[in-house]
Amino acid sequence: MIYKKDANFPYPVLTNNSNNYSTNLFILDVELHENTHNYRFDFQYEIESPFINDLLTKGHVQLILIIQSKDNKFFRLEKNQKSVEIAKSRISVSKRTSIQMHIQSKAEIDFKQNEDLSGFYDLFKEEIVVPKHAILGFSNVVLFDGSFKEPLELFEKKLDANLKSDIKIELSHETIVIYYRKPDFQFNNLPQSNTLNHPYIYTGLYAALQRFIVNNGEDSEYVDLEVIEPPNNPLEFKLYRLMKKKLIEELSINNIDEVIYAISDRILEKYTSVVKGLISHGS
Amino acid sequence: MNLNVTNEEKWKFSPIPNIEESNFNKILERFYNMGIKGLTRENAQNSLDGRLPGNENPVILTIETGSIKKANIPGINEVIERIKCLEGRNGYTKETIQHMVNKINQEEVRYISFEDSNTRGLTGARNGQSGSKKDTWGIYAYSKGVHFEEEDSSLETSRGGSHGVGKIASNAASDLHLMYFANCDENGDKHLGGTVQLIEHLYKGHCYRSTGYFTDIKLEGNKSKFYPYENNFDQVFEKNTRGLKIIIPYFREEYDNEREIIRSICDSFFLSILEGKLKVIVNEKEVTNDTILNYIKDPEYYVQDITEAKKVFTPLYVDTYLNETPEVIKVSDGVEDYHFNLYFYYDEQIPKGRVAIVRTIGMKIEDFKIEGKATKPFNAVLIGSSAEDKYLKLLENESHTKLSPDDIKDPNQKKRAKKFMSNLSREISKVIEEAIKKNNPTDGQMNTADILYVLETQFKKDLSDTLGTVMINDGNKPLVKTSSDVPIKEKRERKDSKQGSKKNPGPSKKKRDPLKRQKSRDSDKHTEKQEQLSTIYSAHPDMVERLIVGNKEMVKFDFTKSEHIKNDTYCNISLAVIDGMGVEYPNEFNIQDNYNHIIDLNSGGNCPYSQNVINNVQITQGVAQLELNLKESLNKSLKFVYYVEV
Amino acid sequence: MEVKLLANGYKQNEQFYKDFLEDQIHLKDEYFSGEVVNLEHAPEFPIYMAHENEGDKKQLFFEAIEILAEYYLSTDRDIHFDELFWHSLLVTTKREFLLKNYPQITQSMNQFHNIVLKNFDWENYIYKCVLGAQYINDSVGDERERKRYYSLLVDNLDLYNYIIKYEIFRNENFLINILGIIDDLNLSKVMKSKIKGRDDLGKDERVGRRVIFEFNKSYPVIMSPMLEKEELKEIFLEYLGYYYDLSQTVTPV
Repeated sequence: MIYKKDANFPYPVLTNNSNNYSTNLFILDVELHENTHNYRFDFQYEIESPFINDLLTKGHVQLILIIQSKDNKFFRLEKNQKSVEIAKSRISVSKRTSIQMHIQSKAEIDFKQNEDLSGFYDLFKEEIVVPKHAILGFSNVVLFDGSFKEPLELFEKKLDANLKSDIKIELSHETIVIYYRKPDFQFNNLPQSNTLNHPYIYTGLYAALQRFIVNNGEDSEYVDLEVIEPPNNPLEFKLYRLMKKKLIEELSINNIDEVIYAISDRILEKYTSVVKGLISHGS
Repeated sequence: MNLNVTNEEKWKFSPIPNIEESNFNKILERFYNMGIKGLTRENAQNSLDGRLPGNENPVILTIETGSIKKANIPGINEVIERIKCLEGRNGYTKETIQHMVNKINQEEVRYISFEDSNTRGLTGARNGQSGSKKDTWGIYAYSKGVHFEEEDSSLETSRGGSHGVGKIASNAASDLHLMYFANCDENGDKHLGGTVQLIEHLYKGHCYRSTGYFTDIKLEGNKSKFYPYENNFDQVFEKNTRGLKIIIPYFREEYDNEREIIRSICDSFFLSILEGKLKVIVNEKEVTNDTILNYIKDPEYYVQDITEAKKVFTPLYVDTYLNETPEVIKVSDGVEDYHFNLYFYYDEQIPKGRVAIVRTIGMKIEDFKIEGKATKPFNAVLIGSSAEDKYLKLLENESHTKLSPDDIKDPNQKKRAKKFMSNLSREISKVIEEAIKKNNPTDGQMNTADILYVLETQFKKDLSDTLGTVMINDGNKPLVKTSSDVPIKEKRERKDSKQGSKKNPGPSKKKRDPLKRQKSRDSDKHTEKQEQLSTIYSAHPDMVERLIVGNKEMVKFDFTKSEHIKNDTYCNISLAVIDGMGVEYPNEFNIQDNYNHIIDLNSGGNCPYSQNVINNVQITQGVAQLELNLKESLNKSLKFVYYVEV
Repeated sequence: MEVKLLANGYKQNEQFYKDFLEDQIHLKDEYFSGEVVNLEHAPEFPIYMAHENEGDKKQLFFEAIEILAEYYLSTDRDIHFDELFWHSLLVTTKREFLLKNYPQITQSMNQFHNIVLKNFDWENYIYKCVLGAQYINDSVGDERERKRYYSLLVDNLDLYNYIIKYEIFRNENFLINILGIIDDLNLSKVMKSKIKGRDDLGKDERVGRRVIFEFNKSYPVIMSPMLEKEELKEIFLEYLGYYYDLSQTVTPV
């Protein structure tokens, strides 16, 4: 019941990502608390449009909080309500929980007085009437994800003496695992051994991003990061967030190297300088 | 001292029967090679050594550089006359003399002075060359290579200088090897002394020693004895509060660098300063425990990138000392145990591993290399207490910049020192190895195949910046919190612009083209036609405005923000239904079944359409507009994305 | 009762299947993660209802739903809505029960996976029953009414499957309302029937699924799960009208 996709609705809808309204922000923030039996979701929201806020004050529209984990729950919010509680027997947060707020019309809403609309809609506002029970706006989605054992780890190193190759890259549920057949291959006896492992990290990232494209992209060659849902796989989710953080908009088989460069903080440069240092100074 | 000199000259040189040694004092060259670092280090160390016992206030060392008229330098003409007589016998000496001669004609010269306070200064100046250990003036002014011993042995051990050669560092900093020292003692007695380091020379028919003393001389019986001049000289030479002031005229140009002076103070005395034992004022700049970090963290003074810390380690030492908790390590010399505090920091980015060995007064002796660990990624600071200081002093070379057992004469002591040095290295090595193991835990162990650990901390940081972590289940289970994109920046900008302030828009994202080229979609029916030069783009919902009013639907396409459609005047438009989960259905909506007719508002005419394509829509000034007449059966609640074919 | 949870990796492990057949699993520590779940009671219930005749099937569903409602629904969802828990419970404590009731699991690992280690999603009978039991129990207080809804659920299993298959309508209010509307208007048969004259929709498209899909397409403009039953009914009939000639059987209420 969470709705995120940008689309052209039959009437103007207030969302953070559309320009139907000139004052379009609808920001939700949620905190999660728990006691023995319940989870409590404390929320705050901000709606930028005076028109919508006025409808809220007058009680012509209903705020609805949607909590989607393995199934959906919705709560018609009272005025000044700041939290909802759900029994642990009715919700699990051990996987992904998405939370969003919707604004629903309680009766037909005449947009004549709506001064917040932009361009085209402003011209036609005299004629716009949104029917009863329809959506007037939706907020951003707040996600809680409990499927991470190690939310902040991207790589693991492991030794496996039985490996059939010296090095092996494996994409686990949550991390990129670099297997080494011998500890020597990790350069542990050298200074900055971590940096000396950067080429393996590069290879690992390459493999992970390739899989990211296959699992999330179109025709296995292209992913529009602006459009896709955050991937469910924890490793892909981490990569997704890293890419989003570096403002990467698309990932394709043609730009994997550029993406690695953007998200990996100069790993090859650091590697090069360490190798140069080792050569010139010995150890 | 038996001197056959007249008292008409301010500078006194001991006469000798003939010239034996025609070289400059070798220590001069050594200090000269150490540059401004050696100079500031020696003088700051002497000041720290001279701190007033029982006084908690920091020793204040005021360093000043400036210019002085030659005429105001006491006795300078005598020195110049002597220099003119010097005869070099070898290349180096000749060169040095030539350098001096080149400088003697300046009317105004540079100088540097080091003035300390909260210090004792020298004692017993009135007694002149007394020969008493208590009269430090006599020792300082008239003997070289012998330092005076503290009566309090704990003070003695913590003193920095144990070789008594510090003065020569000052001589070395002068083009003419010339230095003065102004003293004010606890009684307010003010005297000025000085030395100049020349070579043995023939002057007015007599041979003289290399060292000249700026001093008065009195005959006592048949012996002559030095007494200092009362200080009535130029303001640069004044010392009016208790303590010592070193004045070096003809200050070498290559030394004359304020930033370098501050750096060398920080390099050697960061700990004295951080602990509030020393405060240094260099011209206008104060380096105190409150301000030292301003210099340490300033890229003008120190390279801040730790991956570049290959020669200078001071910023690392400071961080290590301030941030780490020390552990005590025990180092034995085979007979006695010594205990040191070791502040230790491990970071994979550090290119060279060094241990700052620091005396209790806070002076760093050495960037100590541990054998076999010089390129391990760590940084450390090692400090002992007075017993350890004493032992370290034994091991120091003359300029206190290196620990080495080589100079120790007593073979038994030497053996112990060697043992001490190797134990010191071993103890610190243990700490380093433990840290390496902790950070690379599979080191050498094949059976720990399942141990996981972090490989790259940068990713961790980026992830934690982008993922909020919440703990539930009594802190046992991590939950990651994120939010779909909220255009926070835009919000701030908008509010700003409302208030009329036009700030620069900041690093906003580059605008995406609202049209995105599609890979040949629904290839089944239109393939042949489409191959004729047409391209399909998806239209970002932001460039489309759509509205249903009654049985009319209006759709407006704004292509003006797209690079793709420039010269096209017609396009075909198709649409896809988006379901409640955001899934797109390109063939779900049939235009014929849902619209009666479609009017192109630009041309005013009806648009032809097939099953799911509206054809020949006119684009006028980058805009296409349609008015669609709805059939009764249309589900008015649908939402779409549009595709444009040109 | 203590249920030892299985460690990752059991699903693809052939040895695990053999050890299950030979009753060796509880002897091998390596199969367990070390985590346990404690339950007061964990009675048996039917976990697989395919290939039964309609009457038996209904009976089995009833039995499962009632036992789940009584003994499992009050546990945390982290337990009763978790695949690992169910697989662990079945394999470690219900071996005899499984072998007796589903002897086909001894025939092949596939059967074992299809019945015992089945993915915990809308195709899994435990999943179907947990969700149905919860939705009906939480929103219907009266015991007889509950039975009516249990029955409606089983009678409209195809539609129920379709509703819980997609995240969007996996919601108590929506399910109860849809079942209620079908019952009110006696539409069960209509919902199951194939759509006539719409080859564009595929050969086997059923009316019920298309009506739900129409709700899907209209969401969130029409916030169907949040509607009261009577409000939903109006739109339901509108959408039904797209695919079924209402004049035949239904008189709009």
